[in-house]
Amino acid sequence: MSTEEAKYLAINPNHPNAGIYSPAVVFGNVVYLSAKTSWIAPEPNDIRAATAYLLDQVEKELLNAGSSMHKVLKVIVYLRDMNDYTAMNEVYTGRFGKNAPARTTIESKLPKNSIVGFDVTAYL
Amino acid sequence: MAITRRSFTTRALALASIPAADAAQRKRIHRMGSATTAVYSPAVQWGNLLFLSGKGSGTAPDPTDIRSCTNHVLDAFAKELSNAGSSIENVLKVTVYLQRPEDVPAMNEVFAQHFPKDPPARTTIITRTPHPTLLEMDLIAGI
Repeated sequence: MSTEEAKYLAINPNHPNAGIYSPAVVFGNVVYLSAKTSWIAPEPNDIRAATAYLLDQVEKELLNAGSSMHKVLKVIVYLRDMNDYTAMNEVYTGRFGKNAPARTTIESKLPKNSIVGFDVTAYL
Repeated sequence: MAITRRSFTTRALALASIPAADAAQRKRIHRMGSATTAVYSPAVQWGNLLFLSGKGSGTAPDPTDIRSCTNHVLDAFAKELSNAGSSIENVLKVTVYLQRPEDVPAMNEVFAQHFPKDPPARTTIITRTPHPTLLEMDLIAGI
């Protein structure tokens, strides 16, 4: 049994769902981020603006945890409408450095009518 | 040396204790043939872990038959795993994305044939994927 303790981190400890989930959990050299969804974005219904904002938030959360965008291993992209796939990709492409993470994209209903969400696993 | 999933826990714990500086060297991308894309990598290795991107059933021999789709996707993963130095026996976790809930039993039947012993952890959800197909899966494996 490992006796290592997990660390629970947040760039904003007072985020609206504090107490429900932690934005970042570190165990060993792996960090698991909770999904960043577009209801938190300044322009929540613009797929390009929302994607750019959320990936910036992901980056801040990773840096706060001691990781970075080029250390991302796996991303799950949730889209409310698959018609946003191409526009999301335009902003997404290149955001993780030259070695893009593994990725799966699915269509899904999201909290607060969000149009896009990103769920990220990375190493430190 | 190939390891089994039974011994994997020990290896994973050893991995968890390696220094961060070493870990920084460890993200490796595996690509088969000319399959490259700037958007995502088909297989990302980190230490003894392998993260595979989603594979859809659009190119199955019969993309309208869930059995054909399931065989096709799992065969494609077997090739991807082999290319990255792993195998279907070392799959740890699978997520199954189905378009229709009624396809679950037939998908399960074929899925079980691919994992006759110690099947992986699994989650199945009903959703739609970028290029609409009956089935998509992604997975995490050990090496």
